[in-house]
Amino acid sequence: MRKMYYSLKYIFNETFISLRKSGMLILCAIIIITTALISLGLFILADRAASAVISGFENNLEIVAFLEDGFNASTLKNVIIPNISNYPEVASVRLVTKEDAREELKKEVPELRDVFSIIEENPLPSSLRIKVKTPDTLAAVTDRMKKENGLAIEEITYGGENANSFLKASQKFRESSLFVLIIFIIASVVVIAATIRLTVYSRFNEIEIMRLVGATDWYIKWPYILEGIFLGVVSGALATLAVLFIKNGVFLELSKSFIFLKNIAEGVNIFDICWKLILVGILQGIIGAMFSTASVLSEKK
Amino acid sequence: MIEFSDVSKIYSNGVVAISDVSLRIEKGEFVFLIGPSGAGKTTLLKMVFCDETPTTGNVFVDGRNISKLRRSEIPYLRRNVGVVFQDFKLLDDRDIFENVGFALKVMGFAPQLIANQVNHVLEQVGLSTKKRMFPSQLSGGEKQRVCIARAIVNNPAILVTDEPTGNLDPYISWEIMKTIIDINNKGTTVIFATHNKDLVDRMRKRVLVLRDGRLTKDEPRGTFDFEENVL
Repeated sequence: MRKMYYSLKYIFNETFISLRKSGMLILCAIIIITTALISLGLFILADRAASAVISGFENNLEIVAFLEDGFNASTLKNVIIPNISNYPEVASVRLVTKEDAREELKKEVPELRDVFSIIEENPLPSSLRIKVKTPDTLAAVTDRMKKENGLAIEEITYGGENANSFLKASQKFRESSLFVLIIFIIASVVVIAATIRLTVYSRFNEIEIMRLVGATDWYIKWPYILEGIFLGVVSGALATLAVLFIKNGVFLELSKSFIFLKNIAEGVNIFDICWKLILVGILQGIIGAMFSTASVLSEKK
Repeated sequence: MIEFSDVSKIYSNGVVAISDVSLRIEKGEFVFLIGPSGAGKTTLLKMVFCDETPTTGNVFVDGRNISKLRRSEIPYLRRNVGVVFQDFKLLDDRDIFENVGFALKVMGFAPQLIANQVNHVLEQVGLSTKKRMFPSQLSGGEKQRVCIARAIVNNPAILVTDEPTGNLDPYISWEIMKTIIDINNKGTTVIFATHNKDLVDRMRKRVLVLRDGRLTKDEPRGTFDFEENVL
């Protein structure tokens, strides 16, 4: 137990010495890793933004089946609506009468109040508003409704076209930014490995002596792994600060113009991003350190 | 204690360093290892502290076959083998005390125990008054004695020295020799690789001669005349 204590003391001491000796190298590594981690943080923020927009779309997606005037109200209420409600993909079905439609429009566009007071006949059609459980079933439900119900439907519309294009765009964005992110993270690992490798080589004589006097591989490696962890923690913390600044500054400012960003700016838990960035930083540090020490130690038995 | 059984070592570039060597060194023995440069002396010594493994044959150190040791077991074998190099291999940024104590620190010993042991061995090699000096402030002979102190600080059973007097004048070489003889007299097995004819001839200890990787002579009280008495 005492031996372990003295060994740990030695390892921490050596880590500190190593960090002090290679100040400029460490600074360069921190800058590069922080840049990569900021990218990761922004990716997480952007992903949250895209998810929020998609979720907004999904919540508002519905099929609108406009009914021809003079439909049979009894058949609609007793047969067709219950029938559609029974589709497994359907979440709810609501009948919007001509009157309901007019009131809705008045609420949404108050400027039209005067127009409605001028025109005598309500030009808005009645409609069925059908919400589905998942947006990918919109087309199938629409087809089935058309085939099965023999409704006097004027037109069926749904927001699927817009939603699908947005979904595709956001998917492309995620794929391309994920690719850039992976490149950044790999670059960071390489930079950490190179930085620690330089430290290792600068202390090659010492490592050689350690091996010859009976130090275990792990005993030799630990100071460098701690160095990698230090790089990861510091870079992760700096990246978190940067992301916090971007979230609070840029997002809040932009959210004045783009309402959907307001939720992102206010809703994202910075600690959730913080621990992810630090964890990724630490993992990068450990992997980089393991690579650099393994390559040096494998040269010797 | 140390046994080579039909050992050969061929490096990946095809160089044959050791060829079919068999020998046995008993506990507490003092053995000179001589031969021309490139004869395989260093490779043979490296096998004793497991820095090289044989291509064929077996090397036993303390009854353990070094070819069959797991990588994780090697450090523990090395803690029982002290090594002294011609080029000292000292840490320039640490003083003599720290250089000697380094081996014990690596093994996780308590500072007080390290201090006691380091002071003891520095006295043994005659450097107790210079323990706060740095290697750059010492002469070649003193550096070599620091190296010896580091090698014996944890009381290893075996001391391997690779031309420890190679860069030293005859007087200092003899002082180093006397220090190592003292260590041997306390029961440590010593393998002493050297080109120093004077030392070998004066000591009349067991002499092993290597030529082109082959053991060409093994004499109990030998001299440096390795070219004449080919086995």
